[in-house]
Order: sequence, then C-alpha cells, then structure tokens
Amino acid sequence: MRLHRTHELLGPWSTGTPVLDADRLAAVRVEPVLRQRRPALVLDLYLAGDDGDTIVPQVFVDPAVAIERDRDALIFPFGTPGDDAFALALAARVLPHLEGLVLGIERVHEHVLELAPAPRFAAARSAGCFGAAPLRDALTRLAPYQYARRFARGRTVRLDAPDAVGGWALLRSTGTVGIAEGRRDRDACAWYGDAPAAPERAELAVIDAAGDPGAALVVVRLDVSANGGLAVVDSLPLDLGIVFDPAEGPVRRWFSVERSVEPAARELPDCSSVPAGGSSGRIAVVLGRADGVARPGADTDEARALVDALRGEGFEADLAEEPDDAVGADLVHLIGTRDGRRARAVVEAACRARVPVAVHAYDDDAAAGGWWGATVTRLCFEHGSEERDVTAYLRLLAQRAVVVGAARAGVPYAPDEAAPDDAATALRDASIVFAASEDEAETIRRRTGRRGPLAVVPPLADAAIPATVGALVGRDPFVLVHAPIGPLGNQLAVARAAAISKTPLVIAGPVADASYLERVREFGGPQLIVLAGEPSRELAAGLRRAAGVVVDAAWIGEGASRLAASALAGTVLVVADGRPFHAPGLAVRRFDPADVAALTRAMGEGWDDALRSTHRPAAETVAALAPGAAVRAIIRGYAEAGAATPVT
Amino acid sequence: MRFTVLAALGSDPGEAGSRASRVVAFSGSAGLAAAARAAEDPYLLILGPGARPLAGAFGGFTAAITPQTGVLGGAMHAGATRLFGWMLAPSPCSPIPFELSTVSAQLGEAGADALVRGPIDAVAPFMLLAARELLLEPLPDDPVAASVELCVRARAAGRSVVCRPSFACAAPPLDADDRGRASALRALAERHPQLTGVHRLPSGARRVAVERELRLDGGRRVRARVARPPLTILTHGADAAGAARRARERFPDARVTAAERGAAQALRAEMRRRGDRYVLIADGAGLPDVTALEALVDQVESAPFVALAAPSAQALQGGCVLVAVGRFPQHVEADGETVEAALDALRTAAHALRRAVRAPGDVRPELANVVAPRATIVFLASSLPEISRLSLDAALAALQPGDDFAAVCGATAETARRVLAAYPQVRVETDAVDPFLTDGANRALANPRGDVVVLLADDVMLSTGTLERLRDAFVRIPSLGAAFPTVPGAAGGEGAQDIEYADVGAMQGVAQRRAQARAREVEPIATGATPAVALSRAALAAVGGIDPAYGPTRSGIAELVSRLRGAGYGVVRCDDALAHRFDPALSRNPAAAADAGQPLPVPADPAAAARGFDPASRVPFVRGVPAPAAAAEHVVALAVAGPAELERAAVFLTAAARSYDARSPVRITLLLDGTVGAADAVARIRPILAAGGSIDESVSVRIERVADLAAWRAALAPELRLRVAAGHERPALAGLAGLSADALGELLDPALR
Repeated sequence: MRLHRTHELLGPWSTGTPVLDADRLAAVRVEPVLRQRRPALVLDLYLAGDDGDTIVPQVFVDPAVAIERDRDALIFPFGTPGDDAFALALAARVLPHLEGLVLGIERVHEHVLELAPAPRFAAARSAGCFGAAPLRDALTRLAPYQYARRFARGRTVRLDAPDAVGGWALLRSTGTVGIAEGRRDRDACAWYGDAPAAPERAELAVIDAAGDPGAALVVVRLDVSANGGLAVVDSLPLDLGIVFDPAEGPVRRWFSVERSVEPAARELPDCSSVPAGGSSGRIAVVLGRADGVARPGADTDEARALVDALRGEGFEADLAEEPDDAVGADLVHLIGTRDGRRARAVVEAACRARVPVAVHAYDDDAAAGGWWGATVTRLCFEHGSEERDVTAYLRLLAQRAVVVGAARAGVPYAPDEAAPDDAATALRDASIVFAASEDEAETIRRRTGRRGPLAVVPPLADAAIPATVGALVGRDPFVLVHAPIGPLGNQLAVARAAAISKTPLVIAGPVADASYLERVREFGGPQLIVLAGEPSRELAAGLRRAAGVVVDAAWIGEGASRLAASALAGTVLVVADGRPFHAPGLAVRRFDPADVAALTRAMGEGWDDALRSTHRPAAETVAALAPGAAVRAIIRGYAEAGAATPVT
Repeated sequence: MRFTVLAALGSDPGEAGSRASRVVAFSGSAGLAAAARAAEDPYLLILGPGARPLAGAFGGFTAAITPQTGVLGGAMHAGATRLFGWMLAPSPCSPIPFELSTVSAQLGEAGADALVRGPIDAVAPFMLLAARELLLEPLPDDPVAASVELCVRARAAGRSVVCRPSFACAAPPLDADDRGRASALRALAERHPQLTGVHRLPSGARRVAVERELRLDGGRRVRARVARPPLTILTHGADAAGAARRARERFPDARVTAAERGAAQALRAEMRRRGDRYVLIADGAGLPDVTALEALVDQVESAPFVALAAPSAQALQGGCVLVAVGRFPQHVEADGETVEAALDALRTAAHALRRAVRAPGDVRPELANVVAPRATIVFLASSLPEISRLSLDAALAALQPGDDFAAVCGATAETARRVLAAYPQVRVETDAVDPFLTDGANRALANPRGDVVVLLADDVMLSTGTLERLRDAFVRIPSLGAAFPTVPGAAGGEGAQDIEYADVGAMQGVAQRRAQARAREVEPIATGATPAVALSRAALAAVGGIDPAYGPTRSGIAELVSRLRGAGYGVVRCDDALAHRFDPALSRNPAAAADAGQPLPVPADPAAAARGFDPASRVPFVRGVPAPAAAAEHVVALAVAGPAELERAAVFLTAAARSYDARSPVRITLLLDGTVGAADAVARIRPILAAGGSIDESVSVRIERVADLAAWRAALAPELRLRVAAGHERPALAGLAGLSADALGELLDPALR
C-alpha cells in the first residue's frame, strides 16, 4: 500500500468496527486539486458498515498514473487500516471511474461516485463535513479549530460554535475536548463519531460570535468582524489548505483570540551597557544581499542593531539599502557576502573612494556544500509522490549522494549569481574583516589569501523588548525557526523532523519562496505554526523568549545575531554543523543539515534539555554575547582599518 | 499614436518618456486604475516596478499599433532569461481550468523572436501597452494574474493581444514569493467561466514544436519542448483531390496523399511504420484550417496516452481525425474495408489499450476486466547441468495452471536432454547447429500457447512469484511489450546496483521483501539485456524473434527491446520481481560467456526510435532457406588453439567477410584444437559475419572442434583444395599453400572464373 504523510489534518477514522471490505465502499468523493502546483485528484473513500463507517480521506491520485499504471495509482494517508489486498481491492473499484475521467475530454469537477446507498455520507456532505464535502468548504469550517490546536494541548476544551463536532474530531487527540449540548449535530456526529459533552469548566473555549466564554482562560471567538480578527483564507487545496495569511488569497471568514495566556515569563539578563560616546563620522552599513531589507534575516537584525549601537556611540550611522546609498560615508560596513558581485562592488567602490571598508563575513564556505544542499533538498521532498520515496531520497541526501545538474556534494558548487570568487575578492581586499569565530577567520584566510586585519567579534544581538505571543503560539514551549522561508533556510528539513517527532514547531520569517512554504506546510504535520512575514523586533524577541528550542538548520547562514539573541534569552540552541557560532558556557547541539534523522535526534535532545532547563544563560555567556562587548570590538576594528580616516 | 506612460514607483521610463505625451507615476492596482481613468490618451504604456525600456524598444513601435490593438507586450529581460508571457494551456484535472505555460527563451537564443512574435494569451508584465478602456477597473495585485486579466479583457472586447519581442525592457525577475497568485487566477477563472486553456505554445512556436509530457526515472513527469512530429495528410472521399490541393496550400510542410478510393488501404499503408508522427485523415468537408489542426495537435499532446483526436465524435468517422500513429502498437491494424471501419478499429483498439480518444461526444465503452494471461515459458538450457537444474526447478515452480513450458537444448546435449526429459510438463525442442540455441528459441517463440511468452535462459534463476508478477504487469499495462525482472548487476535497464545478498537462499528473502515494498511498481526502461524477459505474444509476432546475428546474448536481447520500443510497445523493469543471474564462470553458459567479448548494449538512438519500427526489419522466427551454397572448391583452414589465435582468425575473417559471401565456392573452417571453446569462437566471429549483412548471406564459415588435425585433413573430399590461413606450425598443416588476408581476392577470382 502506497502511503503519504503530507497535508495531515485528520487521518482515516472509523465510527464503529473498521470496515475493511472493499465491497462496502459506498461513496467516493473526487476533487481536482493542486499538489505541488501540478494537477492531481484527491479522493475521500467512504465505507459503510453495520455498526459504523470507515472514512479514508485524502487519498491522492496522479492522473497520469491512473492510466499508465507504472505503480499503484492510489496513495493512501498514513494510518489507513487494512493491508495491501484491501488497498488493491479499493483501487479496483475506483480506477475504472478515474480512467474514464482522465481519458475523457471533459474537465473534472468535484463530484461523488455513489456505489451504494450512502445516506450518512450524503448528510455529512450537506453539513460540510471533512471527507464528504468539497475541501474548500470543509477546510474553511475547520480552520478556526485548527488554529485552536496550539492552545489545546493537554487542556480541557469546550467547543460551542458551528462545526463543533468537526472541531472535536480535529482536536480530540490533543486534549480533553467536549462540545456544548446545543452543538451536537446529528449528521456530524454520525460522520465524525459521538463527541462527548463539554466539561463544566474548560481552559479553552471556542465559541461563536454571541457565545459566552465563561471562565475559560483562552477564548477563540468565531466569525467576528474583520477588525482585529484572524483571517481564514479561501483555500485552494492542496497547496493552499488551512491558511491564516491574507497574502495567500481572499479571506473567507474571521475569528479572534479573545483571551490568551502568555508562556511562563523568563527573566532576561541585563545586557545594557553605557555607550562610550564621543565618536563621530558617517558610517554606511550596507547589507550583503539585495533583498536584505525586504526579507530580513539575522544579517538584517545585526545591521540594524549595529546602526543603533553606532548612533549611540556618536556616529552618524545609516542602513543603506543599496550600495549607492553609501556614497559620501567615511566608512562602509558591509554585512555579509552572500551576493559576491554586490560585495565586491561595495568593497571596490569604497576603495576607489579611499574610504575604509569593514566586512562582516558570515563565511560558512557555502560552496563546500551549502549551495548544493539548498539546491537539492527540496527536490528530495518533491521528486517522489509517497512516503517511501521521501524516506529513500532523504537517506540519499544524508549520504550526500543526491546530484542535480552541477550541484554535487563533495565538489565546490555555487550558482553563478552567488559569485563566490567575487565574494572572496571582497573579503581579501576589505580594510578589515569581522569573523564570528577563530575557525571562520582561519577559513577566510585560507580561502581568500587575506593578509590584512581580521578580527573575531561576537555576533551583535538585537535587544528588543519582548512582545506578548500567547495569542499566536499558545502558552506551551515550542521549537522556533526564524529566518527567511526558502531553500537556503532549510525549514523543510526541520518541518519534517518536527512532524515525525510530533514536536510543536513555529516557523517565522519573510517568505522568500512561496512554493517552498507550500512544501513546508505539506510536510510539517498538523502541529506546525507558520507565521509568514517578518515579525516585528518585539514579537521576534517574544518568540525567542517563549521558545524551548531555537533551530538554525540553514544551508547558508546569515550570521549568528539571532542565535546570540536566543542564547541570551535562555533558549536551547540546535545549530547546523559549520555555522560559525560559539560562546562560553553555551552547549549548542549540532547536526548535519543534510541528515534529517540527525536533525530529529538533535532536536529531540534539545527539546529534552529545554524541558529541564532553567532558561537562564550562564554568566560567561552573557558576558561574551552582550551587545556592548560586540560593539566595542567592532569599533576597535574600525580604528584599525581606518586610522587615516575621519573615524575617531 | 499618442500614449501616456504610467510608471510604477521604482521604474525608469527612459526613452518612453520622450515619446509619451505624459508620464504619470502610480502605485498599486487601484492607483493604476485611477491613473488610467485620469489619462486622456487612447493607449497607456505601463511600466512595472523596476522596469526600464531597453534601447531600440520603440523601433517601429507606432506602426505596430492598430485600432484593434488591445494589449501589446514584449520581452522582459531578467537575468539570463527573456520572458515573453504565458499561454493558457488546458488543465482538465486542475481546480483552475488552465495552466500557465511560460513562453521564454535564454538570452541570445537564436530564432526565438520569430517563434513568439504574434498572438499570445498573456503578455509579460512590467512593460506593456494597453488600450486605456481596458484599465479602468483595477487589475489583480499579482503581476501575472493582472496580465492574464488584462489580456482576457482585451479579447473579450474584440481586441488583439500581441507579443512584439523587440519591445523589450529590463526588469527584476518575477518574485518567488508569489503568494496569492493561484487564488487570483482561480478568482479570474470564476469571473470568466468561458476562459479555458487551449494551446501550450504561441502560434509561431506551434509550427515547429510541441510540448510533451515526459516521464523521468522515478515517476515524476515534466513537460519538455520537442520538435513537432511530421504530418501526413490523407484526404479521401469524392473531393479527395481538391482537398489534397487545399491541404498542400494550408500545410506546406505536410506530406499530402489523396485517396479517392481505397482510403482504408492507404491509411494502413501510412501506418505500416509506426513512429512519432501524425496522420490526419480528412474528407473534403472536414479538412481543418491551421487553427483547427493546431487544436487537434494540442489535444494529442495534452497527455502521452492520447492516440486520436477529432473535432467531434462524428468527425471521428473519417471527416477529420488526427492519429498519433506511434501511440498504436505495431500489431494494431486499421482493419476494415472503408475508412470509417478502419478508424473505428483504431478507436476500439485505443480504448482497449487505455489510450485516450479526444473527440467531444465520443463515448468510451465499458471494458471487461482483463484477466491474467496464460504464459509460455521458453527455457534455454545450455549451462552446466547443476545450474540449469536449479533454474529449471525455480521456473517450473512458478508455473500456473494453463501455462506451457518449452525447453530448448542443443541436439547433441545429451545431459541436458536427460535432465529435461525427467519433467513431464516440459516440451523439449532442440537446436542442431547454434550453441546459443537461437533457432530453437525462435521456433519456440513463434508459436506460443500463452499470450505472454517468457524467454528464460537457464543461468537466470527466478525468485518465487516472479513469473506471476511479470504476468500481472501485462494486465495492468495493455500496451506492454516486454517486462524484465530486476536483475542485480545486469547491464541493461533491468539491472540494479543496490541489491546485495550472500547466496541464492538469501536472495529469496530479499525478493520477498521487495515484492511487498515495491508491489506493482514498474519502471519504463530504454534497454534491457538479460535473457529473462516476459514478452507479449502480439508484440513478438509484430517484431519477430531473436536476431541470429546475436543470439540471446545481451546484445541480442537489447536489439529485440529496441525493435519493441520502436514498434510502440512499452518495456519495463518490474521492481517487485527479482531474478538472479549466475556468473558466467560458474554457469558456463555460452551466451553469457559471449557477452564478455561484446560491448555493453546502449539504448537505441531516440531519433531512430522516433522513426519507428520498419516491418521489413522483422526477424523471422524460422530462418529462410539460405541461398544455395556454391559447391566448395577451396577450404581455408584456420587453426585456433588459444585466445590469441582466435584474434588472429578474427582478423582474417574480417577480410574474408568483405570478399566472400555464402555463395562463394570457398569455405573457411575454424579448426579448434586447443582451449578455445566453440561458444567463444562463435561469440567472437558472429559480429564479424553479421557486419557483412544478414548472417545467412555472409561468408561460409564452419567451426569444427578437431582433436586430430591429420585425421581431419585426411577426411576432406579429394576434390577440395586446402589452403592454410593460420596454423602452418601444426605438423598436419605444414607444407600446405598459405593464404594471407590480402590474397583472398586472388583465390576468389580464379575460382569464379
């Protein structure tokens, strides 16, 4: 039986004795969908039994395979009951119909193939139940309950809103969930199962617009007005399932989190320092990638923190979006060298203007595997259509045996636009280069032949006041990945690891590649929370403070500013091998970013550490990573680089 | 022609500014609509964020604008790519009724402009000229959806949408953060329910190319552009000649044939050779115009399993039908007296083969379930008896009721015959001459009782259930020609390099696990080389048997596979079926031993496969009676003891093959008096003889194992003149006249005189 573990929402279920006789297949719902941006068919199978029914939702079919039969056409969701013979028998009943659809000339619309009388199915379809109704409707109905999952873990839950029975089916494995008496829809109960009555007092209440939340600590109110509400986007299954990001499409309904509970407050160390002041001169801080402002990463955080700190010291410091904006500066500070041509242009322009130029290298030698990984990893998830394929490809990835065009592990590889030679030239010719560790410094010397000054400075952490996050992520700890969402960030591997280990995961950051985000949602499991779009500095600080573990699995890093900030917030760090980040008193768990199994292990160990941790950074860690220390080191570097410039 | 430039923030109007009556900045879709409403000129040039017209973008620009112009787009240069826009391709299994098919070219790609110039479904965003009236209502925020919407509006207003590649701008690449695009396109489709995709390529490109779905290893499918297959037009009916004349005018690249009578025969003649080409059958009234034909081609290319396309079910009777002849396997014939009957036969066959017939109104018949076919196993026994018996036991264990088992062995292989005779269910055929048993194998293959014929050499051991799974593949895939089991270490596509086991017993365990994990998985392969293959009887009948030039060596099997693929049959590796091939050193199988001296088979050239299988190259199952050999006058002795002498003999034979044929009155005899076996000698010289043409017509060579050369010499007929090409050092041949390769002609000429 071919299985998939994608788009997980509700697995197969039975309302009585599981029906494992394909002759009892009574109805098949067929819907054309987009899967990985390609047309596909999704089936919901309904088997009618004597004492209850079995529903197998989200069976995928590649239309071409339904005809060419180079493998079984039906890909069942993980957890489908029965054996291979059962799957084969189901396929035998369904495939003639699918053949007709695919071979025919008519456009395929959502429809139901009735093989036997199925009154419970028909009623559930009318009621918009998942597995019987079109996904566009069913997902919209379930969306607020899916959002509420982040609050429900291990808690008592009262559902008193439309589609409460579906909500119960969605949340029943997460907590003690019951529905209000008036919400016991007979058709829905016959479909999803007999939902228990809600407890007298519940910690989480999901209520309708006029509902009474009682004394619930967390309240989700459905169908509120748009103001201040959370949007449920009109879904376009499968690529666009339950999504709360209005950038993805038109909004179908609104709901709000009326009450929420904040995660346990963590005391943050005092990292404030008094600026020495008295400096002067104009410093232009230029980001090393063109989309650094539009899609902020750790490099952007560090640049902004640096600008703030330099201003505190008396400099006239600005964040220059484009290299041209640096004209007239007394010193140019380039943050990162990912875009080699841009880096070289900045350094050469500064040299021509006889202005000292400092460079934060962020050099994790991306050509030695980073670009390869960023190129091939998503293909390991996309190339196969079932769980076994994904597992096999990920095993090959871990062995670094995946080759795509020129992207091959073990030999230097970088796309043309990265221009690593230009980046090396920039690092060689800059007045001063800042590295995050001695290892990184040594790598820079070896790769670029640099002989000039090269200083090791700690990453500069952003110091924002944490905002409240309870309404976004709940009160329980989670794993956090905060970076631009795209292949370079390798969030897909983290999402897979979290889904397999059932670890709550929050992925936050600007969207660099929307199709990649779709893959993250596809493989991330039902517990995944995506906060698309760069959070504010305060919100990011709040997320770091609430997170149990922060993971940096990026193939190509953007500096360690966010790691430093997380370390100062007392969060356990799980970081990809080769990322230059060290601090005294800090135990960082490392893993190979190509090896999802290793990542899963490291994340699990980090999770265990977090559950035991006091979340108080060691004094020596605070001393090493306090922004004041980093700023002083940078200014010393400026002085070294530009003794003959107006920088004082 | 006056126009206003509406420039998004961040754009640079450049040269456009001096040509426009005004330049107005805007931001966002609402801002664009407001600016359009405020503008006075009939046309608006819109520049998206970051766009800058390239030098020469406005050359001849004014002349290109007509009163019918709705939207004029150009080329958007972003990085190394030039984007011209999109075609809306059909997407029947998608929630959105069309699919955006990108029209682009690499920077500097020659000839690209000519292919994209003209009508296009949606122009590239960032720089376009549009009639003001089309912009009064806001467009979607997404630039791609906005372009599609704008072009839809233009066509709805009866205006043209055209791509003019010289109207070029530099712009940033489209953002990979395209959130909202799919939703916007769905909303657009819902607003315009009449909007469905038709073509994948713009009209210029459609003349020379098609986009076709290709299957990659592992099952992922991609679309790739390939040269448009050649077209033959067959006109029929009363006005066949007139229709042919019109067809030549409309489709100058097509080959046109008129058949006023005998159209069905003409169609069969056209389909004699299946290849990657189209045949259009049309009568005078149904002859399509260029647009209609392109629509049919797009229907055929909408999926690799579409075999017939027609504008309607009625046209399917012969009024206008496009046949993708390569998608009908060779054995399918357009039988019938009339063209209607012939086409109906094709349509029926297409449905039975699970091929699509794209003709509105055509109803697909209910098809009976296909049952597992009976099989005939042709077992080639030529290995060491111990090995042969192991393989035989495994093969017999796989038999199902109704199956038939024929074993072929050498006529003088007494041990093998005794072994085979011990099994009452085995029918024994013998091969009198060929150590590879080719003739016997072909005879057995010629008349199988089962619908599936399994050719199985006795150095290949099947795992339990393999035969059943091979047979099932033919049930699932009606157009399958050959199915190989997975064979660890094999040279062809059936080979697997990642399967390891310690011994044959362990192999059964691996096979069992594989059978479960990869149940019913097959992988189409380009070539196969192991003599363990299940073949469709119909396919085999169409392409013939094993080429005697190669025998059941890996080259011979690969050649057979190449014929099958050319004839339109699928060839697959069954990943759920495992077979073990014994090492040639262990099995002493002659064909396997011969493989060592031959190059690895390579897949047939795709171009050759696209040309299709020529029925003239069918290999007959029974060799034709050779041309009567001339009575030998000369015998040329080539003594061969070791491998080095075999090579020496090969050099001589190469020259001989150029000078002689089987009708020459000269016979060459390889005298094997050392360690070289007959099989090794045959394997070495077969390619040499085959290179001169069919092996039956090549130089007359006899291979003899000779223990006593003197006795052999004494037994020669007295009228034969004996010459020695190699082996003078043997006492029995010493003193005889020598013959070098150069002197062959001298020998032949007097003989002919």
